[in-house]
Amino acid sequence: MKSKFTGVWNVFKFSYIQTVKSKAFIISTAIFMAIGLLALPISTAISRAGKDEAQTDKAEHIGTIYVCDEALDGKLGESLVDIIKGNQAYSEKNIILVKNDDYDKVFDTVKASKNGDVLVDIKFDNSPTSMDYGFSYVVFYGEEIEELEDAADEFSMYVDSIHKEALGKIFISSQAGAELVAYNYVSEVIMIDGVGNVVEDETGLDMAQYWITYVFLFVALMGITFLGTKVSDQIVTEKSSKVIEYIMTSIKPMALITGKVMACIANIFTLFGLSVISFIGSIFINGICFKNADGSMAMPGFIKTIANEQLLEGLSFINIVSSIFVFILGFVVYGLLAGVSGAMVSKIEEMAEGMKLFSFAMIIGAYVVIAYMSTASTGAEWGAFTNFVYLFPLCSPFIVPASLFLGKMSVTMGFLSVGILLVTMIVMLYFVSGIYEYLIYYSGAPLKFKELIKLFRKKGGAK
Amino acid sequence: MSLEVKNLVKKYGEKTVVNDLSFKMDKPGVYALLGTNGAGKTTTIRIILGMLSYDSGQVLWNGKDIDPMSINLGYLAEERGLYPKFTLMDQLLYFAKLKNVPKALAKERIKYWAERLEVTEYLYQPVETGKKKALNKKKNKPKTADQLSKGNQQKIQLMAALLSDPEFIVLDEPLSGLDPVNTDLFKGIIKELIEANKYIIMSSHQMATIEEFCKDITILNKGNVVLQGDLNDIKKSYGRVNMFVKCEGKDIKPYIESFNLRIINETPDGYQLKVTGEAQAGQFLAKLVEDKVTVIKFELREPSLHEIFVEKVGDVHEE
Repeated sequence: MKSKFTGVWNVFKFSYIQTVKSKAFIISTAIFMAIGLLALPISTAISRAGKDEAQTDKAEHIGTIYVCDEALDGKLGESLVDIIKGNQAYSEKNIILVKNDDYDKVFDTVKASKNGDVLVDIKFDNSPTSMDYGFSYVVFYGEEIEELEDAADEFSMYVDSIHKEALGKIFISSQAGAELVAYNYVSEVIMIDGVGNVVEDETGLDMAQYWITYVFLFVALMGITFLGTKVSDQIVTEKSSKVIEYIMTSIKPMALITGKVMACIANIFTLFGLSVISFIGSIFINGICFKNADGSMAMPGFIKTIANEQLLEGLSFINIVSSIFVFILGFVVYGLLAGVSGAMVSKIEEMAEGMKLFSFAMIIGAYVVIAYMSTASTGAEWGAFTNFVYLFPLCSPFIVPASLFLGKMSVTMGFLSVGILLVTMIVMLYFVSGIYEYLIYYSGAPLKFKELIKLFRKKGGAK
Repeated sequence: MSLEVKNLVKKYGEKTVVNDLSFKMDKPGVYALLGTNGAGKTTTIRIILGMLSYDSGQVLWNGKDIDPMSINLGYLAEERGLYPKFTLMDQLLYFAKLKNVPKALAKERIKYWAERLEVTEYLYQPVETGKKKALNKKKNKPKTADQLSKGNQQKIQLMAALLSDPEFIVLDEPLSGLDPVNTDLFKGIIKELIEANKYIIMSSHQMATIEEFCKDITILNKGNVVLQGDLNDIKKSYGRVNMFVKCEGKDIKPYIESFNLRIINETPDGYQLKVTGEAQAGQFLAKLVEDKVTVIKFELREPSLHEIFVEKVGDVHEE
């Protein structure tokens, strides 16, 4: 006797191939690949043109820039000051090179400053076993001026971008210089509160993390929207064209919906995979077309924000795999929901009505996460809300992949979140298998959600 | 092999749509399910195919509860059911794959049936090269189901039903909507399937077609069985009560009235009359001869299935 899932592979192959062959998919893929291929070079070109202007706006909030070089006896600091003075955004600023002995005094000055003064503290540790191995740049700023946070972030990114240039100016074509350039460097932006304590944002998202989380959210939202539309459209087409009657003599309804959901997920990964490959190609094109003065590849500001080594130092194979795993789980949950939504109607014209359930669930999930991200980026403490967002199965596919990727989730929370998502998937499968055989043959007015629940309780009607 | 339906009952709420239906097919051939619209034919077929559950009874294949997915089953649905936007070849290969038919064999069978059903042009593009190929590219694009007429869609669906060379075939209104040429084509195929010892269940409104193929029938009316059994036996039980008479030179209506015969049909070709049996028919003929009426045609036969059907379920319009 055939099982409920016999034939799922045939359904998967057919659905996947027909979608890939469709004009809509080919055009969408071409557009995404074109965007992927051209995004970086165009962004770099625009960034280069508009760079000084954007910096100028934020730089207005910065007062005096203090540079304390505890790394290379002031030489790196001097070199840095020279380069900063050459930047249009900061050329008018008072830029002071600070001796180590004056560090504490300058620290207090910055803490109490109402003019937006900042302190750049440069350190260097060449002990391979040290946690702080390599160069570190810390930009300190006071809490008196609200706008100074963004300005300090921007300034810190700028300093990151000129680190190698500054080293290159000190050690032109020397072995020592080449060795120093090869060292890691990390950067931080830290606010000093009124009593002189540094305020480190452990739970909130800094700009880079925000952007990465936003990208993951966007990918999840796009993927789930595509998945929902595709799965429900295929189900409704089969019902309205009556082809379902023939198919059901060969396979069971659960094999049909499972095969379709898997095929749509594979289509999404195909689309995104090709887009990522294009983006990688874009990096090479960018590298050929645009170079910095030191010969390194020019990058637009937002890429430097995202691709900084500090951000990615927590990245590992397990993070990436678990991220993808949560994506897939989330897609399966939403895919099953889309299948049920599609089967609640009998005609293509009624699909919008049927998709209300799916759309409602997706909007709740996505917008709660967007709300969370807006608050998290301000560094606000939202303990219970954070837990809710990570654990609620409608929300977790939109936020957990990014959090796992960035290492922003504790192991316990990660396991809990994945566990709840797995349980949700199993419950969905159980729910769907109880009613899907009725729904697939259902022909009549669009069903309401309450009727679905009644149907599940009854488990009656069609086989 | 055998199919047996035992005391089948199906209800939707308070309404019984199939009421205590039983029949058995233990020999190859065609078994007919007849009835008016809403009689329960399609419901019964769907129950047999495993698409619908039932409230009580049994459906047995070879003595065991039927599992349609374990039988090599072919199904031609009443309504047209093809993917509107996928190419016909892709669909047929998919349906064959669902029935575990290897691709190479499926292609062979598709080619055979495409030629048999005269739909080759919709499945295969002409082999052209160069300029001609480029010029005719749009015209030669693979056809999709929504580009076909209803009759051609039906042919494609019949192909899908027969691709796996099924042992058990269900044909739900196979001739509906077909023109006379295609009707003959389908009939020819059904005859071949009978000769190939297939088990076929057919539902139809076309009584003449049923009489051509079916040995056993069940007539349903509002879910209830009103007549069942071997068609020949049923007809014989009615006796030869249909008389066809054509005369010349004299109007025979007074004779008809005097014998109290019911006129079933009056055409330029003569009268179709209902008699009580061979005796009354003989007396009528004797009277005509006695009065020297020129009799051109005289025929006595059993009632047609259409007549039996109408008598059992009331006035219906045959398609």
